[in-house]
Formats: sequence, structure tokens, C-alpha cells
Amino acid sequence: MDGGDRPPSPGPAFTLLRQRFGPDDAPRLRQLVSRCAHAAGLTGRRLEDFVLAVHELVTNAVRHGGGSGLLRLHRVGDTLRCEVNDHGPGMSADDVAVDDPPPANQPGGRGLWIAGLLADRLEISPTARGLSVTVSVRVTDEKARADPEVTP
Amino acid sequence: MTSIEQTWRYHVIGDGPGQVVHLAGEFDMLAADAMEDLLVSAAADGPLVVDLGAVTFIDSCGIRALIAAHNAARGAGHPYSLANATGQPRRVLSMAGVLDLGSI
Repeated sequence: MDGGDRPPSPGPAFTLLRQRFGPDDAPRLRQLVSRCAHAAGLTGRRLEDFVLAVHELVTNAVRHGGGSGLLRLHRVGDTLRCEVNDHGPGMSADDVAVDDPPPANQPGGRGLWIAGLLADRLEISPTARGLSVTVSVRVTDEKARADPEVTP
Repeated sequence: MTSIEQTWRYHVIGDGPGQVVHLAGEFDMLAADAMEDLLVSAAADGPLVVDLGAVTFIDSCGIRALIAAHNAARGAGHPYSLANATGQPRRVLSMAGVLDLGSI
């Protein structure tokens, strides 16, 4: 450590998965994300929650983001980050209700709320071509933390 | 990507009013799109139980379909309930506040 003014670096990013997807690919993507995240040290309920959070990003891209997109799963330090880019019209922060649950009798509008609830962090930003949504979760497995450079 | 394998299925017990719909597998976007109309019309026609005992995964779209059926049942004044959810589906439905939606 150089002890300078810079914030501590989270370390290099390792790409674990990169997949383009269309409307029918969600089940297969869930399997792939689950396998990669598990290999990176995520287990049990944390794994289950992360897979659903990522799945909601994919579903959102299919439903509201032009029907297709690109999924990228990275490991940065002890954090797994999954970014989904779509090609839809995008949305403003006001359109995305991620803080409060929709009323119990309202059928839709839960996807990104669920993702935000299950992940440690949810980031939404417009891109030149659509929307970028990222969920992050810390890998707490001791073995994975001891050997952070392991890739599946 | 690879060929598409159906990841969910259902069967209906009962002919006419008073049905039980058993769902199995992954109740995601693909399943919800296919099942929502059936659930809504069954709920509008009479008492409905949706048995989730064999469901291994549910997402926001599955939740949406279950709530749409609930609203149809309430509009028609029919009993509606969700039964036997376990594991991930039970946890997600509980988190979303819809696990006891049928208890009206």
C-alpha cells in the first residue's frame, strides 16, 4: 500500500461470463449465472438471491429494453458485479420504483424492486443505446476470499 | 443460444367452477405469459386454488400473474388462494407481501 490519497483499489476485474440474450434465454442464463457465481464462491441463499436479482435485470431488458441485451458478470475483488445492457428507450430515475414495494394488489412493477432488495447494490444508468443496470454482491466465502484470483 | 426446453408445466384439477391449478417447475416470464390468462379466467369463473408445491423458482412475472388472478377473483367475489409454496417461491412471495394474498 502506498498510503496515498487515492481510495483503495478494489483490484482487477475478472470476466466470468459474457452473453448476448433474447426473449427465450432467461432460463439458460439463470443456470449459467448460478454456475459461475457458485464457482466464484457464492453459495446458499446469497447465491439464490443473486441469481434472481440478475434474472430480473434480464427480464427487464426483455420486457422493457427492446427484447434483447448483453449480460456481463465480473468479479472485482470480493464483489460479483453483473451488468445488463439493453437497447430500449431507457427510463428516468423517477420511472424506477426501487425503494418502495408496489401495492400488494398491483400486478406489475416489481422486477427492479426485487433486484434492489436482493442485491447488495443496484445501479441504473442510461447509455447511448439504452439502459445499463448492475447488481453487485459481496462474496463472503472464506475460501474464495483467500484465493481471489480463481476463475472457473 | 441452444434449443429451448420448456422449464415449467401445469395441470388443472376440476372441470368448471372450483378448480385447482397445479404449477410445476420455474414460474418465470415465459411461464407467466402463458399462464396468466388461464389463471385470470379460472379465478373469474369460480373458486380457485393455485398449488405451488412443485414450483422451484418464481420471479416478478410469476408474481404478477398470481396477483392478476387474485384481482380477478376479488372482482368476481370468488375465493382464491395460493397453496404449498416452499423454498425460493415461498421466500420471494413473502418478501413481496403476496403470500397471503388469497386470504380474503
